[in-house]
Amino acid sequence: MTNITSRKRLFSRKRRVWHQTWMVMRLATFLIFISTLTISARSYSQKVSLTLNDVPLEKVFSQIRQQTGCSFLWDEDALYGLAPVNVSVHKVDLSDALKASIKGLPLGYEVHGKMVFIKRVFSQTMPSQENLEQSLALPNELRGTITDSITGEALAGVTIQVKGEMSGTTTDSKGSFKLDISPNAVLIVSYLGYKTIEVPVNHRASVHIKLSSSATGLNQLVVVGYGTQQQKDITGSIASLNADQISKQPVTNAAEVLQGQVPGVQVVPDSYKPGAGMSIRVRGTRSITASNEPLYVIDGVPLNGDIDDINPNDIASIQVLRDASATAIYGSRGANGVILINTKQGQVGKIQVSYNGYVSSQKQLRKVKMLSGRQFADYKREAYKAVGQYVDDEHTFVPAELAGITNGTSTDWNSLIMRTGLQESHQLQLSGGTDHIRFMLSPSYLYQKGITKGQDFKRYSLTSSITVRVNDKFKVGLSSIITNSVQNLGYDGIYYTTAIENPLVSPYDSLGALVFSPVNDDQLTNPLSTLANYIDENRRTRIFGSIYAEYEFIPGLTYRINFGPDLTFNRNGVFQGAETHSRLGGSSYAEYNTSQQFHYTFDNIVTYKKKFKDIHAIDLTLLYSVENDRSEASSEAADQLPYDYQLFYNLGSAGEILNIASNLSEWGLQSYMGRLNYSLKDKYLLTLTGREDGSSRLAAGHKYEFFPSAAIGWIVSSESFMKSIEPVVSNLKLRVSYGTTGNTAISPYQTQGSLSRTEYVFGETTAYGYRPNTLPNSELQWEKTHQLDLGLDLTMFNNRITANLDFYRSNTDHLLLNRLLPSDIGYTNITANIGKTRNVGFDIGLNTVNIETNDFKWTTSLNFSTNKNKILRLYGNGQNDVANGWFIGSPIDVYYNYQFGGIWQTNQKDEASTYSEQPGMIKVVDQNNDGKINDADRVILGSPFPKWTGGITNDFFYKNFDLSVFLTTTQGNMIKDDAFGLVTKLFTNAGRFNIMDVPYWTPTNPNNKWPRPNINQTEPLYSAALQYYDGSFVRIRNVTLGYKLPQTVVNRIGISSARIYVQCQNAYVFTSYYGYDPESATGAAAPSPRTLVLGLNVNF
Amino acid sequence: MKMSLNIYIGSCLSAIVILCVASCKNLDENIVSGITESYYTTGDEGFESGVNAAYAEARNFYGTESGLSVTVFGTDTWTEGSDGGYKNTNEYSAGLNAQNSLFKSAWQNFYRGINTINAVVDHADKLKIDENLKRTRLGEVRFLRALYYFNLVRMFGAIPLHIHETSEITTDVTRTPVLDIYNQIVTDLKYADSVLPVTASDWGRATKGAAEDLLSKVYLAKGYVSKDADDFQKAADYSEEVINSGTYRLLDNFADVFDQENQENKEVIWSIQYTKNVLVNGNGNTDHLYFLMKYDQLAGMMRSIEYGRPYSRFKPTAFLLNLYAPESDSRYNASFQTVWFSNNASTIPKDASGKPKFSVGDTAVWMPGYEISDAFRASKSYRIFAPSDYTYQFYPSLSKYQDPERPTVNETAGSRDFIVQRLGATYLVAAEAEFQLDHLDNATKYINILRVRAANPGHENEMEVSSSDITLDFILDERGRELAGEGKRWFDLTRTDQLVTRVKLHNPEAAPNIEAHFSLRPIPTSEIDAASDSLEQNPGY
Repeated sequence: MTNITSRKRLFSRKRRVWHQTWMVMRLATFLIFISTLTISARSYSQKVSLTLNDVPLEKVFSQIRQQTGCSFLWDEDALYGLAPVNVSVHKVDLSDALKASIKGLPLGYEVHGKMVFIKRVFSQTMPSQENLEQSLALPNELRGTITDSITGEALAGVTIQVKGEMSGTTTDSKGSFKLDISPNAVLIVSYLGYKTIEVPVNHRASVHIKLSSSATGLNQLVVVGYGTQQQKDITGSIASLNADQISKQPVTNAAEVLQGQVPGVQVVPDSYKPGAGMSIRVRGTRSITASNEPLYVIDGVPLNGDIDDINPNDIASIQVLRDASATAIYGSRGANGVILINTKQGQVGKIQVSYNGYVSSQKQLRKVKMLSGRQFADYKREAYKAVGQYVDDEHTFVPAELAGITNGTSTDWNSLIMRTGLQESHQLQLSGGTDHIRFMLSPSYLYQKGITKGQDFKRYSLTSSITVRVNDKFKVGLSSIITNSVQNLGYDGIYYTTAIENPLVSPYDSLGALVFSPVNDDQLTNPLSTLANYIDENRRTRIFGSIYAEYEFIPGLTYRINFGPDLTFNRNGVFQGAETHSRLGGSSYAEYNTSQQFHYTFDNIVTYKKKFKDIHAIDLTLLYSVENDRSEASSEAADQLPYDYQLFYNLGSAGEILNIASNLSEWGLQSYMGRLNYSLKDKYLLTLTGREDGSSRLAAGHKYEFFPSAAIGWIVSSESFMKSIEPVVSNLKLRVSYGTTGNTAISPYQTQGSLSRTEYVFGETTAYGYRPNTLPNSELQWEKTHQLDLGLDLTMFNNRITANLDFYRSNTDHLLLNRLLPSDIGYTNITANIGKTRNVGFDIGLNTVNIETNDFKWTTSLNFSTNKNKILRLYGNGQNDVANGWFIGSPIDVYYNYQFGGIWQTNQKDEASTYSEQPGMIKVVDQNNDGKINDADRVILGSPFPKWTGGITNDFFYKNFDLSVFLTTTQGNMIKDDAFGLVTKLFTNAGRFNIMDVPYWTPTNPNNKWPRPNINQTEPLYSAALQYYDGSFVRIRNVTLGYKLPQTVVNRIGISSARIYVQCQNAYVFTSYYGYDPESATGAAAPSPRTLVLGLNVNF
Repeated sequence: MKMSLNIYIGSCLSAIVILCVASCKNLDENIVSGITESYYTTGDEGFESGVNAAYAEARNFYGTESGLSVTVFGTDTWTEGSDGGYKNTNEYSAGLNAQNSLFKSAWQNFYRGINTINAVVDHADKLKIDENLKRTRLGEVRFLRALYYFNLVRMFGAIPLHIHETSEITTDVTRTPVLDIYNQIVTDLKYADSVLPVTASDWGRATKGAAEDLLSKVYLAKGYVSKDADDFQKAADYSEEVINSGTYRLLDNFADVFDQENQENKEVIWSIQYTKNVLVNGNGNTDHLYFLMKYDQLAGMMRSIEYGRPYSRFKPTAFLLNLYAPESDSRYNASFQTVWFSNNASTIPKDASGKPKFSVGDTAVWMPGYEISDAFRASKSYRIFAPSDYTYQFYPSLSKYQDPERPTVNETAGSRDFIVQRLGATYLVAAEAEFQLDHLDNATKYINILRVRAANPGHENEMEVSSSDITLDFILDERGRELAGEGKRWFDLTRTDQLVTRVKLHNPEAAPNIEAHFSLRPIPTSEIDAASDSLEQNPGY
C-alpha cells in the first residue's frame, strides 16, 4: 500500500514541474514513473561472503543463493549485455552483498521474504527540480548524444551509468543526455540490443557516443518455437531476419521480404498482380500431393493459411526453422519448415513515434513484341499458302482486316491495357512502455494501382500489442492484427486475349466507341471491352490475435496459456458484363462467394529453467495444445441480370440462377509436446524433443503419431585449446540434428467415402442424384519427414565475418499421395500413404564487414542454397507413374514430353513424310528410332526446381548516405510457358490469332526453330515441345540510396531522426527467356513491374 | 495480500491446465455438407438418388464432343473440319494413343457409372421400399449397366467385369473375354425386359421397349463375334418385337424426328435428357457446336443463334454427301444446311459503284451440292461453294443438332435431348440381322419401309430397292444416310469389320494411317500403370 501512495505523490510533483512540456513527453514521463519501483531491502540475518572475479552475474546470484537460501528472479532481458563483475565482500548482510554485486550496473533489487527480484532500472529520465538547480550551479556538466553506429539514428532511452556510482541517466527522444559528473568519471553505456561499452569522460564537456548493435552477438535472443533461446545455445538450423533487414525493403507482402535473403528458402510470387500472394518453399519440395507450404507462426500462434495479410513493417523479426530439431516442436506441421514471425512490441523507455511511408511508380519491366498489322497480314497469307488455299486477299481476309490493310492499321494491343502503376504506403507507429506496461500501436495504409488496367489493391491494417505485468509473477499480454483489404483482380485471361488480338483492327469505331469483336470472331474480342465490363473483387477482413497469460510459480518454473484466434472473412464478387471475353456477348453474369474461417490454437505451456553448479543448465518445455479450424463457404451464380450496374449485389433479380452452394469443413489437432535443452559447461548442448500429435483428418487408429528429434551442439571455440586463436575465431559451433516431423495437410473427410451430387432430368422433372465419389481409406496416416542436419556456425575476426553452413538430407515417407487406381473399379484415385522422396542440400549464409572506418562502412551479405530432390519409391512394385509424371530417381516435378528436334526442312521432305509430316512442321526426336513417334519417345526434359538459388546484398554507408544493392538469382530450372501462352499458344489458330514477332518458317525463309503457320491446324502437331525454356535468371531486385538528415537539421525541426531514400525494385532481369518474366511464365501471368520508390522514415 | 493474489491466480491457472488436459479433444470427423454411402439405404430418396446418378453418367458421353469424336471421327462418313484438338482420332495419327483423353474419359466415366449401379443394386436388398418400384428401378439401372458395358466392350474388346460395388482398393485388373461381357449384358437386359414397363412414369426412363431394342443391337453385335446364327436370330426377333409393339412408329416426315419442338415423339425409344433448366442441365448437350462450318467468316454473315456457334470439328466426307440422291431422298436436305441468308449488313461485299451486292435476308452462301458453271457463278452476287470448293472451314453442315433455342449466340449448353435409340435405327438392325440370316426379303422389307418414309413426295418409287440390291455395303450405306452424325458409325464399321476398307476408300485424312488394329481402342495408359499385374494392351498400341 505504501508503494502506491508514494507513487501518487511523486506523480503529482512531476506534473507540476513539467506541465509546460509537450504532450508526448508528459505521457512518457508518466509511463516511466509508474515503472520506477521502489527499491527496498529488508535486512536478512544470514551473512554473505563472496570473492569472485570476472564472473557473470548469474553466477554471483547463485553463490548468494547457496549461502542464504534466497531465490533469485529476474526478467529475461534484465541481465543481457552486462559485463562480468568482480565482487569481494566478507560477512555482510544480504542487502550489502546485493549492492556490491550490482554496483555500477543498471540494476535494482527488491527482497520479498526469501525471494530476491533483480530488475533493470532506468534512472529518472527527467532531472528533478533540485537537480536542475544543481546542474546550473555545477561547472562539470557533461552533455552527450548517443547514436547507432551504422544508421546514425539517435537512440532514445539509452542507460548511462557512472561507473562506480549509483548515479546515471537515460537519453531523451533525441538521443541526448546531460549528466553532472566528475571529469575523470567513466560512463557505462548500455542499451537493449546493443553492446554495452565504457566511455571515459576525460574532462570533456560533451561526448558523442556510437553504439554498435549486438545483433551478431551470441547473447542475442532467438525466437524458437514456444519460447526463446540465446543464439549461442541453439542446436537447430535457424535463419533469422531482423527488423532492419525487413524495413530496408518497402514491399507489400510479408513473404516477399524473405525473397533471396534466407538460405534454404525459396520465395516465388503467385502472380505479379497487386495484392497477390507468395509461395514459400523451405529446403525444397517434399510432398507430392499434400501441401508444401511452411507453417507460419505469428507471435507464438500457428496460422492456418498464409501471411498475406501481415504488414511487413510490423514485423520485428522472422525466424525460419529449417531442420527437424527446430521444427520438431511443431511436429505435426513442421515438415515443410516453420516461419516464426514476431511483430513489433513496445519497448521499455520513452514513447516512440515514427512514420514510414513511400510512394512509387511502376512500369512494365519487359515487353513482348507482337507482329505488326503488316506482318500479321503476311502471316495469315502464309497460313493459307501452307494448305494451298491462298487465292487472293479478298478470299483470305474478313472485311475489317481488308480495311486495316488498306489503312495501314497496326494496333499494339498490349500497350492499351497497360498503364503506369502507383503504390502508396503510410504507416504510423507509436510504442513505449514501462516495466509494467508496454504497448505498440501501428495503423497503416497501402494502396497499389496495378500496371494492368483494372487491377488494384488497398489494405488498411492496425497492429497493436500490449503487455501487462500484473505483478512479479504474473504477466498478461495481447497482440492483434486487424486488416481489411480490397483487391481488384481484373480478368485473368486479359494478357492472352490481348496477345492474340488482331493488329489489323482498331478497338474503336469511327465514333470512338469500343467495338466488341472487331473481326467478328468470338475468340478475338476487344480486351478493352472486357476491361470495361469485368469485375473480380475480393474483400477480406482478417482478425488475428494472440492472447497470453504467464505465471511463475517458483523461480524458473512458469506456466503460460496462449490463445490464438484467427478470423477471416472473405467475399469474392464477380461481374461479367455481356461484352466480355467470358460472356462473348451473351447475358451479364455475376457471382457472389463468401467464406468465413475461424481457426484457433490453445496452448498450455510449462517451462522450467535451472542451472546446477554452473555446469548443468536445463530448459524444459512441456506443451498441451489444441487446434481447431472451421470453414464455412457459400456461393451463388446467376446470369441474365436485368440491369448491369447492380454488379453482384442483386442476384435475386437475375433471370437465371446458375448455382447455389454452401459448405462446412472442420478439422482439429491435438498435441502433447516435451522439449529438453541441456547445456553442459556452456560448451556441450543437447536438445531432445518429442511430440505426440493427433489429427482428425486421418483414419481412426492412425490419428496419433509420435515425432521425436534430437540435436547436439558443441561450442568448439569455448574449449581451452581454441583460446590461442580466439582473435581469429571468436565463435565456432558444430551442430548435428536428426528428427521426424509430420504432414497432415490434406482435405478433411478423406477417410470416409463420400458421395457427390449429380444432375439429371426426366422430361422436365429434376433428378438430382448422388454417386460414389471417393473410396474410403481406413488406413490413412501421417506423412513423415526424417531430416538429418549438419551445421556449422562461425564468427571470425572480431565479428567481421559470420558464416552459417548447413547440410541436410531429409527423407519423406508415407507420402500422402493422390494415388491413381485402375479406374475400372469406379474410382480413379485415392489419397493414400505411398512412396518416399528425398531432399538433399546445402544452405550457406555469409555476412562480412568488408571495410569499416569512422565514415565509411561496407558490408556484404550473401546466401546460397542448393537442393536436389528425387522420388525414391512410389508404389509397391517399383514402377513409375507416367500418368502423373512421377519417375523414381527423378525430381518430384519433371517435364516429361517430346523433345524438340527442330523444323522439318524442304530437303527432308521424304524423311518427314515417314512420320506423316511435312517441311515446316515441328520435328520431335524419335528417341528409340523406331520410325514413329509415340509415347515411348517422350523423355524427361527438365525440372522446375532450380539447381541453386542465391542472393547477395552489398550495403555501403558513407557519412549520412547509405547505398544498398541486392541481387538474387535462380539457376538451372526449366520453365514451362503455360500461363500467358506466348509460346505454348504460339501458332494456335495461325492466321486467326496473332503471335509474337518470331521468324516463322516459310519455304523461302526457312529456320529451325519456329514452324510454318497453318490455317487448318488449331495447334501445330507437337507444339508442346516448343514450350520448355531455361528459367535461369539474375535479377537486380533492388537498389536503394538513402540519406539521413543531419542531426542538427532534424533537431531544429523537432524530430529525432529522419531518412529519405529512393529505391528501384526489380530494376533488371538477365534471362534468356523472352516472355514477360521467367517467374511469371508458369502460374502467374501478369508482367512484372519495375518500381521506383521514394520513401521517408521519421522518428519523432 | 500480494502473495494471496498470486496464490489465487496460480490456482486458477492450475485449474485451467487440469481442465484442458482432462478434456481431450475428440478427433472424430463428422461430415455435414457431404453425404456418405449409407444414404443409399435410407429409403426412397437415397435409392432414387443412386438411380438418378446412374442416368447422369450417360451425359458424359451422349451430347459431348468426346462422345461424338470416338463415334464419328475416322469413319467413311465423317472427317475433320478446321478446328479442334482431336484430329488425331480422325487421322489415326500418333496422337491416337493410349494417352488420348477421349478413351481415358470414356473408360473412367462408364466404369464410374457401373460402380454407381453396382452400389445401387447391392444396397437394394437391404432396402425396405415398395417392391414394384424397386424392381422397376433395378431394371432401369441394369439397362444402363448393359449400355455402359456395351459401349466399353465395343471400344476396348475384353475388359474388366464388375457387377458388385467396390469397397476397397483393388489393383488386380483382369480382362474378361468379350463374349462373357456380352453374356452379362444380355443377362442385365433380359432382367430389364422382364421388369420394365412399356411406358415409363417419366419421359427419359428406360422402358421395356428400350431394353428390347438394345437387346437386338447387342445380339447383332454379339453375332459377329460369336458367328452364331442364333444371335442374329435373336437380334431380328427383338428388333421386330419393338417394331411390332405398336408403342413406336416412324414419323411421316424424316425431318420431324429432329424437331426441337417435338422431342418426345413416337419414333424416339430412348433419349438422354437435357433441359432448359440450367440447374440440372450440367454442361448441356453441346453437339450443336461441332458439325457447323465457319459461316460467320463469310461476307454478309455473322454468328447468330439461329445458325449456331460453329466449332468446325466434323466435316462430312464427299462419300457421305454423295450417298444421297437429294431430289428423291428428303434426308439430304433434312440433315444438311446448304444455304445461309445474309444477317450482317456491314460485311456485305460492295460492287464497283459501292452498292452492296445483296441485302440482309438475301442468300449469302449457297452450297448446291454439284459443280456450277463459271457463268452461273458470275451471275450471282452470293458466295457459291460447289463440292470442289469445300474446305476444312466451309462445307455443308449437319443440322440435326442445331439448337436455336439457346439463350445467347455463344451459349454452349444446349437443351436438346440426345437420341440414343429410335425406331428408324431399329429397322436397320432388323434388316442387318435378317440379312445375316439370309432372309433377304425381310431385310428388303425393312429397308424399303425406311426409305419410302424418307422419300420426297412423289419420289417413293425411286427410293424402293429390291432384294438383289441388299448387300452388307448397301446396309452400311443406308445406315450412313439415315443415321448421319448420330454417333453410331464407328461402331457400325468395326462391328462389320469394314473400318479399314471403308476408311481407306472414303476418308482422305485417315486413309494413309488406318490399320487393322485401330478397330479396337487403346486401353488407357493410366489403367495399365495403375494395375498391379501387367495389364495387356490391345495389339498395335
